Amino acid sequence: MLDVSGNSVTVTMPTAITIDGAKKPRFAVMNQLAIMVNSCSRPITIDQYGIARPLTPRPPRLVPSLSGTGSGTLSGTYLVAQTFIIKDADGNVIAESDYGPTSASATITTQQLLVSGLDKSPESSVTGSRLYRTATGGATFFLWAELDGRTQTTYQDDLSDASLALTAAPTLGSPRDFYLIAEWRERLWGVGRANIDHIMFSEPALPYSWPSSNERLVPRLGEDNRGITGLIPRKEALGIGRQNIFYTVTGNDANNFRVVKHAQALGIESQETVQIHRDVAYWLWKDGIYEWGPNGINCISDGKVRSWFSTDTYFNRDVFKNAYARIDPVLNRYQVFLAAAGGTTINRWVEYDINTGTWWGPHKTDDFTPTAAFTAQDGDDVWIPLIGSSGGFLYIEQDTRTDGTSTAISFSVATKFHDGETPDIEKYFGQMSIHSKIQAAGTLTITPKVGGLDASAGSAISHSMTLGRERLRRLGTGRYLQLTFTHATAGQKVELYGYEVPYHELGRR
Amino acid sequence: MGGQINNYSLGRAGVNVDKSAVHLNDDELTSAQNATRDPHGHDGGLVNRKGLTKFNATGLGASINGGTGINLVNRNSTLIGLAGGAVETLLFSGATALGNGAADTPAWFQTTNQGGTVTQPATTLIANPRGRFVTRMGTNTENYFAGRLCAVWNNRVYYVGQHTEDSEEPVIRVFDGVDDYEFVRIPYNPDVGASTFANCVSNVITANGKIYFTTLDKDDSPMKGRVFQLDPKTGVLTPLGATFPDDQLPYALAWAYGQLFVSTVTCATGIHAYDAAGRVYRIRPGIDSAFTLDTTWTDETQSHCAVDMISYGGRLYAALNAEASAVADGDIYVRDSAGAWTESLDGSFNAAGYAGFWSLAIFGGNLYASQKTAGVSSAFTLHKFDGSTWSTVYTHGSTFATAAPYLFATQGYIYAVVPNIFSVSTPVVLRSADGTTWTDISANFPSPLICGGFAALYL
Repeated sequence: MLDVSGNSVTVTMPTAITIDGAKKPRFAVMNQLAIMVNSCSRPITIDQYGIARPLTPRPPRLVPSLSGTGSGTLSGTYLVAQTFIIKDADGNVIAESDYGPTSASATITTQQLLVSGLDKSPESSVTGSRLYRTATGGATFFLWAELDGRTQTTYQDDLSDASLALTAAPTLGSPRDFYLIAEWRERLWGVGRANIDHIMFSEPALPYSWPSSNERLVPRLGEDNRGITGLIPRKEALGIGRQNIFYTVTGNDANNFRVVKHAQALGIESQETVQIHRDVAYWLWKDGIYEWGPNGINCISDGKVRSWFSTDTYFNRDVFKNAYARIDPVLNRYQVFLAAAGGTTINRWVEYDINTGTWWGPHKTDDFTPTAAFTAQDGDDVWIPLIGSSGGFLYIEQDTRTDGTSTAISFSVATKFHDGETPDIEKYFGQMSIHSKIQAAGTLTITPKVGGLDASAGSAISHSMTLGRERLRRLGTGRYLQLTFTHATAGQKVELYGYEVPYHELGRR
Repeated sequence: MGGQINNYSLGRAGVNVDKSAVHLNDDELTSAQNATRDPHGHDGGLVNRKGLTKFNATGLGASINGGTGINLVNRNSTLIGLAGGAVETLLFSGATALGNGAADTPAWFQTTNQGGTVTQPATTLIANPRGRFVTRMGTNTENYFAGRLCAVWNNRVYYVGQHTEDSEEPVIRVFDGVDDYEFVRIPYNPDVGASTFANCVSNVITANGKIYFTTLDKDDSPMKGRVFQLDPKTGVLTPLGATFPDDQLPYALAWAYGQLFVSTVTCATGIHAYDAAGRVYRIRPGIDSAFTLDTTWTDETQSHCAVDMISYGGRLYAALNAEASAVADGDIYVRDSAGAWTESLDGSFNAAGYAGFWSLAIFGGNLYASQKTAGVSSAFTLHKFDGSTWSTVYTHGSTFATAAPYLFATQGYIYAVVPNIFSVSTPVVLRSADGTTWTDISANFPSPLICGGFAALYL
């Protein structure tokens, strides 16, 4: 864990919960807790003090024994069940396990009710136990007593039925070993590794309570070995994606939550590419980037950069399931990280400008290998987009055009093939003028291609960026002219305004 | 024919790889590696992207596979306390009128990171008079100690503020490290009379997500007191149960077995009298409407009262002290889940004066208790319980103490504090990181020091 100043803080894992470094952590946030799944062997919470605890303690394993003892004022037939609880420093219960096995009934007459054989939790995060008891002859449990610590195995008193807690015992349950998690409508929603075609949801505002009945099938059962591949919690609907089908959950509570098919031949390829910005979701599927907003679902890469995602020319599509993305909320950009064609390492990213609907990239860095991307807030509550690396560092943007301390940023822009709207006519392209922002130093390299669409690169031309305008050499003869602008010097800004090239038509050949 | 290529809309349409080479527009690019339009909304030119620099100076030693941002509290907790005042402030002064601490000018002070050295005087956060933190039990002037007069909830300190006795209602204030303000006032006790203000707050704890405190409402016979629950989210104040029986002043508080336990001091003949055994009551807030008597100290523990209680290892422990007597001594008692109280640690009997245990704290998985040796100017001892065995970990033999050491545990240290009381002109502050080796860090603290006013906040 890192604090807002970038100092590392060790988070101690709860008892018997381990981290698999090969799996990506997935998070949801509720009640000032970060809930983490997938990379940990059980779901955990991390609070604002950096303390990690199991999302839900394991329930008691022993059947309590119930009997009467001594003399008292209680008479009747009773049942008892035990749970384990976790309290925070203020004494709030922040997690409660499912109920352990219910005791056999016991009938007593003017005695104290004694429960023994209570289980002791092996988890150090557990701070105590709760005991629930029925009223005489009843089946509904009520809170009876609370025990501190993990050492008590017996309890007794003769609390009357009328003095039990006023409300019935809560509905509790254990979560699955989730690999997906999302917060929606005040509940957590998760998909378990052993139950990949079903989605579970917690009780409202109780992230630790997962009754087994809170589960819905996301069809089709057993269709593939990936199951549910992503969750998209928008304001009014929860999107659930499989590889090739997209569902939404409708409803407001457990009585009317329904999984409804939303689209066929559409899904979610990687949960890590799902980003939601101003209630519009963006994510990667097999053939492009999709957007789900008030106007429905659209493929925003179609018509511009579909070839990035539908061919093998630019990116390795086999690695799409490992892709990840982030939103820059200040610049309103969606950035998705992919592997270059022929490679398996995620080392490229492209970005979509939400304001202008334009695409940029592919970008790369020669300073580190990116491995993750997300957004956080610094100590002044300013949003900071972050990129994680294989070296254990997080990277943030800086105005200086250098990656790391000295690595140049390789800038390369390729224009269209200019043809003067007469692609069949040979032309003589004259002296090019370049217009750019005046910089303190630096040279921009221009490589022309003059000829047909298969023209070779000509000799490079240098433009001094200390000049706002520079007239350069004649470019030559051909039907087309294409220019590539490059720059790769650390610490130098580039801002290119445009260019002019006069030409004369020579005729057909 | 001739012509001119004028391309000043270069890149305005971003990248397009879905058109053939002859169908692209001038403002479209076939690639834009590390390039973008001016990101600040200007219709500027084509720029190279911003650089990427390390956020953390030290690598985490492994690949970062994912993350999220949550607002974290600064994990370096800071110890804060209340210090200052030329004259100690008393809650009880026997036959004399109760002092109002008007001469005091206490202020919050702040120490450095809990894990680092405590420095003096540290930052004075608030300069205005605030606190009233000292009380006394018994007639002997050596028997001063402080109740727990502040409690931390959600990184805020809720503490007993200063008020003018008999002229205004006692007050609970809240301090978050920046702002210090009045939170709630304690109303009069109808069993005393509408024209009589409650006297003071005796003890404050945080438990069950709430704040609980005891009050002294009438300081002459028959004396009366109450217990309140304060919801720190809303400021709603709820009296728990009825006024305690006459002369049974509710004092120490603890949460155990899902219930609030309250100890009482018997003061039939005087506020500091101790003239009968104290008691322990319990209640389930929100469920029970009345307190249930849990135990009355008897026999050997005559004239005892529990001045501190704490839940440890699933059981409730009580620190008892005693008025000097031929048969009385102070002990540590423990209550099991069946409700039986037994002696856990026998205090040494000393007929010369007061003896007993005063303060309890849990640190490093162990229970600690402070014991004041009898005598006007005498030592104090610290004991440790590991769940099965008690051991003495520290004896302070200097001639000084008229006040009992108050124990306070934080994230990394346990403190034993003796404040300025009467003849004690210099506070004593001991600190330990392991509960065994204690270091005197008194010189680091401002003087005079008001005990009972310590809290650890994440600032």
